[in-house]
Amino acid sequence: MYSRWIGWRYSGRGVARLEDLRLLRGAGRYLDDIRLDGMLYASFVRSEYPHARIKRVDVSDALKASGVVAALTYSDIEGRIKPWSFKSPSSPMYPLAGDRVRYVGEPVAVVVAEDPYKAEDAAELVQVDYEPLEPVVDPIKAMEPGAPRVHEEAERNIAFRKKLSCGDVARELARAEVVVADRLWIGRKYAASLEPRGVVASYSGGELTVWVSTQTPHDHRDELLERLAKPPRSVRVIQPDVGGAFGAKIEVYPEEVVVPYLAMLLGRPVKWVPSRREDAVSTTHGRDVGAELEVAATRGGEIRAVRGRIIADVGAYPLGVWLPLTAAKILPGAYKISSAEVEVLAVYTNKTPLAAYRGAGRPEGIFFIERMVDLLADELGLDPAEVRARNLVTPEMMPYENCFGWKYDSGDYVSTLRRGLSLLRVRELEEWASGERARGRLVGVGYAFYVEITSGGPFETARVTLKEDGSVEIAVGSTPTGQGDATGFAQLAADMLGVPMESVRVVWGDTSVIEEGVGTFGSRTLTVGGGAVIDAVSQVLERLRSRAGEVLGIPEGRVAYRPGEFYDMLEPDRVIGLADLVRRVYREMGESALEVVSAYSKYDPKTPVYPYGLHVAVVEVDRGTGRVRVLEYRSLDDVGRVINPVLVEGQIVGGVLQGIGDALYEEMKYGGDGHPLTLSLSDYGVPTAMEAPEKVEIHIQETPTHHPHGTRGVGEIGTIAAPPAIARAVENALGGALRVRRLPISPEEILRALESAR
Amino acid sequence: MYPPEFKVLVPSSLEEALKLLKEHGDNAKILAGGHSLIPMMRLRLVKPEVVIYLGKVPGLRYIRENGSTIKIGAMTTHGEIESSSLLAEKNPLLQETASKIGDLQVRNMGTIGGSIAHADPAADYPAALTALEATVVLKSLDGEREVKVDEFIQGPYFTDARPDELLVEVRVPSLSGRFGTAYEKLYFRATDFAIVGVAAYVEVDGGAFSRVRVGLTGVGDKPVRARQVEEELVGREASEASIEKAADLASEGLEPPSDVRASSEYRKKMAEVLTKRALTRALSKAKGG
Ligand SMILES: Cc1cc2nc3c(=O)[nH]c(=O)nc-3n(C[C@H](O)[C@H](O)[C@H](O)COP(=O)(O)OP(=O)(O)OC[C@H]3O[C@@H](n4cnc5c(N)ncnc54)[C@H](O)[C@@H]3O)c2cc1C
Repeated sequence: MYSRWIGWRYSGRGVARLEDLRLLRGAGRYLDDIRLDGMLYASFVRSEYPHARIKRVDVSDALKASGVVAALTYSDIEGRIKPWSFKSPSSPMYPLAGDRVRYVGEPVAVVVAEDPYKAEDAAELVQVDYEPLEPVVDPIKAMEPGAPRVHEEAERNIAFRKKLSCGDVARELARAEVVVADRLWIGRKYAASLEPRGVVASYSGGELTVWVSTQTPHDHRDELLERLAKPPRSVRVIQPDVGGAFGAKIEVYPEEVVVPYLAMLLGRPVKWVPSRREDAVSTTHGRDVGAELEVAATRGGEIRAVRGRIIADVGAYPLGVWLPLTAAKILPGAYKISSAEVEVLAVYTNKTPLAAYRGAGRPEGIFFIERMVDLLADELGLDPAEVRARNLVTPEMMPYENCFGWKYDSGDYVSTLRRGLSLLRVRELEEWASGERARGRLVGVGYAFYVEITSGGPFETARVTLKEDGSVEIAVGSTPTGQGDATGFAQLAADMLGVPMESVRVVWGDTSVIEEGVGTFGSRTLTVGGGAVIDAVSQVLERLRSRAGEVLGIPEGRVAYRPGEFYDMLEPDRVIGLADLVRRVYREMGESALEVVSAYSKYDPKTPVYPYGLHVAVVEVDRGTGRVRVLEYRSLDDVGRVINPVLVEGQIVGGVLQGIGDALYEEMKYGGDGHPLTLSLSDYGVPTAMEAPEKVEIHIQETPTHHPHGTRGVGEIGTIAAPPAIARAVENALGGALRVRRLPISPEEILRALESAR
Repeated sequence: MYPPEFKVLVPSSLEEALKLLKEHGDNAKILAGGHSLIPMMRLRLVKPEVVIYLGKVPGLRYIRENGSTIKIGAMTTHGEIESSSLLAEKNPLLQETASKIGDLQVRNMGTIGGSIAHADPAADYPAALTALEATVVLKSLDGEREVKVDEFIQGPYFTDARPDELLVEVRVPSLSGRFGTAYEKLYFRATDFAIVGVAAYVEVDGGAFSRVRVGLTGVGDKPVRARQVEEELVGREASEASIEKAADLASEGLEPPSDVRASSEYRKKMAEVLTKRALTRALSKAKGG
């Protein structure tokens, strides 16, 4: 087990990120930095209506404009690019809309010109005759009989529906001592990456090369081969440096197929980079999920059953129908709930399609259950921590299968809650806050206990190669977009190989560098991708071990390993250094040395793992204006073994700030007429450094998992735990004047609550 | 986000700038700090054929005291106003207002002339300039005129300037005696435009308010004075109790817009709340606090 050496030198320590020197010096190379000879620029014409029939698209004026090389509509690509079809009842999604548009921003035509200015000038000349149709805007009304339909195929606009149930809910509700009920909603989000999406494609000699700002280059490659009716001989997809993704760069988007097609059609490279407004309407949105729930319990606060429904407004196409399902599956949270019945509904509206956004379903499910537990505690007049403690899954129950089938791998929730309350000094905070409130300040403390699922399959890949000069090259199929995973991979490999980190080079994001890969999302990279690195290093070492036996003149069974060298178990002074051995292999085997010193791993994570923990927020509400400020934030998370605390901290702090956005600032709003209203960074409220809490205190607990390096995911914790903690803190600050049902919480709502409590 | 084609002209004297303006008139836009104009051009909300850049015109960037007036050149940046020691002493209201505009980059680029000429109904300066009864100086080849700011700004993005006129100077009073000022800005995030902004300027004499000026931004098509509040307070005891009563009048007659940030109702309420805060703080400064 070579992985036992993980941690002897680098892993576990706050090693500075290998990525930073380049990125901070401005040497990063992002999508828009790519400039190719003879490159053309694409500009998309997009629907200005939420819902309309397209009667005619006329590109003749655009084609006459200066510098224009091509202008295409649906009829030009029909049969050449295959539309997307879905399992859900839905019309196909066309890369350029056919006879109907279903959201503001849906691509309708594309113009290609010599420079981006001319492309945009000409796009303005494309004439589209629309016949507006009644838009579907409210997901609840969308389900009423007689409501207009987004897709004729979908009755009552339902894209997906499933009932999850376990235990005997009817009996538990009938005999419940107390039942609390509520309706909750988390507003729609736009990932608002600093770098928008974008794609460059170039075609020559039968090979299509595509650069795309993505989290999933391998999926892009496969998708291109599938979508293009006449596929190129080969496709190479390259992920340049990515300036933020947050789940919204997982999907393969229409533009990302159309632009490669244009490069093939025109025989010249083509680039498309959207403006912020364009990105905001054309990049999948997140959240917009609600719940109507009843919780049955005993007077002592023991939860007996949960019943209700979870509804997602999935927008115009069914990309995100799995989101409410994920929310439902994590709904039991960290609690032993053995009877539950939840109807999961995904509903179409005329809005940008919904898909993954940091947390993707778990922030929603955890927000719902944590809100309900707080409500139950309030109803019973019990301490919310106590109600939680009474219901938490106990360590003896691990691994514990929640009643919708998700199997929590390990952990001690009960003692983590108790430990967290004291480590994070929650009682002291509460006491302080109530003293301040008595003096008239509206400060409050809230907390949430979460469990979440990370590190899913199906696999992740790595190829590790020991070079003749003693350096190590690691190519990975996962695709970090700023998290710093390359540093983590280098730490793991350097520990196992006994080499300095500086001699490890990690590359990723290129289908020609590694032929298979899944990607970076779902908090899986260091755990699953790291598993692949460890496995590949182990394979190389194992092969070299038998070589070492030959060199040392001893049977393989006697060869032992410590970082950087093999030695004779019986005579530990007889040693052959790894670097020497590698050089020897190259000398002796030449080209075919790689069969020994390079190994490929396709690592199967087998089962997901489940981080959990306690997050505490302290807020202050301005009595006059209703504005909320998060003053302080504290957390205790069990993230499994920590490879690098700097990376963990980065993920938690960033996630919490994004969670603050969820709770207080960010919402992609639509008017009643189906038009989006928040398409700029001044209208869409991404929190800035000025909105960050001044004090953040992070504690980590390291219960190992079944992975060789023992990690759990950490990337989405902040967005999962912060919203319910902040919601509770606001309630606490307002002394019960407001029950938080919807995020983001608005100052106006707070002010109204304060006024009516007066 | 690419504007249509346009031509850039770079005059090197005021005279030349005015000539170019006269020549290109309606088809031209002045480029000052560019922090409002360039986004609008990129969004194709305005499509000037000619852009006249003021950055190379000398003599438009100054803060100068002239008797009881402080004169500020149109090209003076928010940052320069924020860090002016002259203003800090003799017109802290304008200085505080500048310090609350956008973020550091915006304050380093944006100019006071550009802000006023742009007449964004959520801009910060107009509250202070209205309260200060400030004026702007407009110049053209035909001559020069001085206009009160609250007459110059006529509606959202709409001013009294003729196409051939350049805003060259802003004039605010040099304050002295027992006065206090404060600007209260309600924002969504710290770097945003005002949802509502209230500027207050008070003078006290013998324990009573002798002069009160309150200017509001973000509550309507153009900046307004809260005259009822002013009238209510003048002559009254200079105390928080007086302010408490008077501040509720701040929303009288207002019909603020509703948008993604705030409802009209909320803005009205905030006009009162911020008026109270601004006056309270101004009073405490006037009393030497
Ligand atoms: C991110 C961001 C945040 C911001 N936040 C705030 C904020 O919080 N509060 C706030 O008040 N403002 C804010 N602004 C606006 C900023 O202050 C602008 O700089 C200002 O409003 C315009 O000044 P400018 O010098 O940039 O003018 P420009 O953009 O160059 O010009 C604006 C308009 O005025 C005209 N113009 C400019 N100078 C003259 C002149 N001398 N004579 C005649 N016409 C002229 C131009 O033709 C144009 O129509 C923000 C801007 C940005 C980009």
